[in-house]
Amino acid sequence: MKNKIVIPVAALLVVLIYLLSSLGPWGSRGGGKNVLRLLSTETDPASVEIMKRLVTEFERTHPNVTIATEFLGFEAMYPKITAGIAAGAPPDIVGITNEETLALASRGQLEAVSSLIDAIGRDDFFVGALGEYEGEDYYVPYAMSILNLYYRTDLFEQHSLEPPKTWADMLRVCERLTLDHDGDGTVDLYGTAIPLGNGQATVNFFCTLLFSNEGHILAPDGSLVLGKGENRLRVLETIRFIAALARFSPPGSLGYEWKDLTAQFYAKTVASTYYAGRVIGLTERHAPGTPIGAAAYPYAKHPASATFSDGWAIVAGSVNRALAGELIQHLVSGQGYIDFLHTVPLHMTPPRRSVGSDPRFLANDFVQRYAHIKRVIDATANDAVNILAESGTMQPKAADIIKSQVIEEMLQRVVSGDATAEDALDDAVAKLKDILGE
Amino acid sequence: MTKLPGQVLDRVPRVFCAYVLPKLATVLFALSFLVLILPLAYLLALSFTDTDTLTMNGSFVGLRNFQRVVQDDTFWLAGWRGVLFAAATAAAQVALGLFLAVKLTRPFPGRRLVFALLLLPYAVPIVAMSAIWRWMLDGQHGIISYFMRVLHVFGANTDILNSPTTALAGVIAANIWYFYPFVLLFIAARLSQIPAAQFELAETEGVPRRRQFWTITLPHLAKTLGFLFVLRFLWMFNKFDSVWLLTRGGPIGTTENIPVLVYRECFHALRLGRAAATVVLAVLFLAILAITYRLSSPLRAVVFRRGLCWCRRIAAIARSRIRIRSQLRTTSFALWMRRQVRPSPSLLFAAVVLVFPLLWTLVSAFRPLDDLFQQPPSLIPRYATILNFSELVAKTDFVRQLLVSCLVATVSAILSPAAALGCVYVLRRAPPLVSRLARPLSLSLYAVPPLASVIPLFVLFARFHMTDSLLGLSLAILTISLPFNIWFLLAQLRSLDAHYEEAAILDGVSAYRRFVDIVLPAIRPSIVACCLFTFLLAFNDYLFAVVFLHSADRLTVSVGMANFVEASAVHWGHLTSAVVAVSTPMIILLLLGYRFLGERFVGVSVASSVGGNK
Repeated sequence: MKNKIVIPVAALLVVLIYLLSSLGPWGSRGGGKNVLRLLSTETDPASVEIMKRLVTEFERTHPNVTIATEFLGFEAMYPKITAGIAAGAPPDIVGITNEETLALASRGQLEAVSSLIDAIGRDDFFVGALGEYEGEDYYVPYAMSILNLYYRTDLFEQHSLEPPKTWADMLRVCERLTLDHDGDGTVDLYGTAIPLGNGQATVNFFCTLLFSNEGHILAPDGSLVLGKGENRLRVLETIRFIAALARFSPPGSLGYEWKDLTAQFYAKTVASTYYAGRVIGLTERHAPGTPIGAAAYPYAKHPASATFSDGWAIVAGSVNRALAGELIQHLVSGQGYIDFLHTVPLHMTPPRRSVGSDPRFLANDFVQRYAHIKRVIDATANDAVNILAESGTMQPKAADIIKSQVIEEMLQRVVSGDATAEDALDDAVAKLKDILGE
Repeated sequence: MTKLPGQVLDRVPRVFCAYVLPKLATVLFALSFLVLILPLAYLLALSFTDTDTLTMNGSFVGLRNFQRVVQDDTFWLAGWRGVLFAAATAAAQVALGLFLAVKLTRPFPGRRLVFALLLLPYAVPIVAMSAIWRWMLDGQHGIISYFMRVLHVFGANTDILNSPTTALAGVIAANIWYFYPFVLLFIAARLSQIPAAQFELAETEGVPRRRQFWTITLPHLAKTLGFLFVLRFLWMFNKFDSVWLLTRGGPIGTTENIPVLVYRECFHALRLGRAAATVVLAVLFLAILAITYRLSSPLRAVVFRRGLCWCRRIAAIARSRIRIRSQLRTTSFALWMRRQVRPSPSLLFAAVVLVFPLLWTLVSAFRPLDDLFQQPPSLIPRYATILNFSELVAKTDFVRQLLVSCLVATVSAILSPAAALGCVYVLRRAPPLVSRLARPLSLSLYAVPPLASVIPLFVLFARFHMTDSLLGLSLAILTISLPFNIWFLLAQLRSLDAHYEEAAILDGVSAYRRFVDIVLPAIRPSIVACCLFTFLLAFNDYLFAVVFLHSADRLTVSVGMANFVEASAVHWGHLTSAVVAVSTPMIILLLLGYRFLGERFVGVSVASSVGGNK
């Protein structure tokens, strides 16, 4: 009786294990070809589709090469790379931001790709897109995130408001647009959405405002100047401005990241938001017919924009470095590359001027419909500063600061009334000194 | 005497079962513990070094990591928050699981479906449901926040997950919802092992339901509830993904627990050595808790005995009157049966509340995208569309990922309980000291956070070329499911009546036959529960799948669904339709599982009573 159960279960198990093992690494995959592993963090289905097409094209022109492409979110990136390095089997090419690039490059985990940048045309890149570390480039940027103020033009027109230029304008505009339509004590529309959650968005936002106030986090020599001398006053002004602005942002701002900013905008609960071009496409899908405008983010002393780029990097230890370089060049050139950028149009901003002005890039319907926003993006891209390279070269400490969540907690404490700007800044400086070993 | 060919053939499986299987079980036991212990040893070694996460280079630093960790206030705050979070979620999960399991013992039309629906939250990948919970709790356009505003539960402008005062409560609520099905499943399995005659006798005596619960059900479940609370506490203390995805430990660190701290140390600060030291300290703390629990067994035994005492008294009274009132019994039983066909209103209310997040997802999956964020939120879509589903199938690899997940989960669901049974078989025959140590040891292994063991395991598996392999993934999942399965089955065996086995020993029945013929049938519901648990765990796994697999054609559905939640946007159409698509086969599986687990479990009183009448 028992065998009636044991034997079928055992048989089923054997079949299933056979199925599993046939999909294992000892299967027929690769078949003696060179296998390149490519890890991409662009997981939008449209981007995935184009990436697969680009990879197939490359395999067609390189019959002895197989590309194993993997699409994973940013969250999975570090565990994946770490485990790969530890086991001696990291991916060959990774698509990462300049922040991750710096962390990996400063630890000798990436190959220099300066020759690739030179081959593509160094001068063609926007200054903010590139970032050298110890005289070498470690990633080939394929897209820049150009951050601006996106707003609903219908509401601005309705209230006879112009897009704000300075911090004072911004506060005035947001106050006008924060409305309780039905008078029930619940705000129905907020003037803006700002990111204050734990994540890159908050640091980017803080840096954009701080740079516009001529403030700095790190000195050119790489030392921490956040709480020093005159710079301290500029930092405090920036913190206080953010706290003032938070009054006109939904109470959930303390947890907002990129995706929350877009969601608030297309859910029509805010009149404006800080973000990049993706907000346009998402609003078209979720709230069609909503008119959108864009402007440089309001400044204190002069316009500034802290930006970051996504790029392809070659992991140290890749056995097919030359091939990896060829693949990267293929991924950032030709019609395929432009199609890839169009999968999230005006969000994946071309890091090269020639691509941004390429007739094939401009021929896109979406780009043409939002030509007025593209002009704003182009202007911002020209002056954008690489968030990790305030003073020209990338500082490894900047990556550590971004990852530490100290900036986010400093802002959260002030905005929630848990601490004064001075106390929060002093605590943050103490924590950062500990982290940076100063 | 010449043996007939049929008899010879018949002997082959018997020999296999009697001699080969026990040896195989011993090997399985040794391998299982090796696989479980190695990552722990690796972690301990790392904690004495200043290893960098990205280079894996480091040198010996002695106790410096431990010193830095204990001097850091963040560690103590995270620890305290973790205890609060784990205790609250574990207690609520046990209470809710108990309530639902007991209510589900009463037969009513559609009971199977309600049971399957109630188990469903455990089957849907957390990464997907976290995005949906964030949406539902959003202060501006979330449906739960909208209801709370209407009911004046919170202030007008409260955003539960993003307010320092309410964030932890929000995370606790979501985590109760994610994991109560686990408790429900195991309480259901344990309920099925309560002798039905006791309920029958109490019923014929007219003992009220509430009293039956306190005097029969609860004393029988006391040990299991204690186990489950401890287990859930350990598991929730180590919970990372469901906290991180909801709040990332914020705002102002108000939801940061030890695993979030470890993640930040490991992957943000890139200090693997210090992260390992934090884990070691946390595991030590949990081990102390587990030992305390173990040492408190005399106290727990007193409570347990008292309960049983009540139970026996009722049984004795009932037995003395049962013959006299046989006619009455039939009448009261018939009345009782008639009473049972209606589901308990409180169960229905709880089911509606608990299924609501999935219902909201279901409705959203059939909405057009421009209808998702209408204000105020509405349960009725403007019009229904299947566009989200067609896009999901046409534009993503969802179908293949779903099949891969089912394959991995099925193999894991067979392998893990089989290995656990092998271990249990060996442990029952092992010297008393080993046998006694086995349970606390498996409990301690359960206390190791998966986040901490994933890298050592990957390194180990890479040595044997078992990464990027679905079989490798199934084996890796063993490391998180096996300790629980061993521990749970051992606990169930302890509660078995020893008389049958003692009688078999006197009759000279072999250990193997005793195990197969007496022990296995007695714990069948528990084995089914272990299979279901492992299946759901493997199906839902994200961390191991994301690290161990890298070929696009081998990704599992939870990794695929995670990609619908990008850093800058959520693909609501894909996400909601994927949740619905995943839920459908899960409901079928849970209905099937119910056949083996639930029939006996929910029908326990009735079946026995009917049998008694005959």
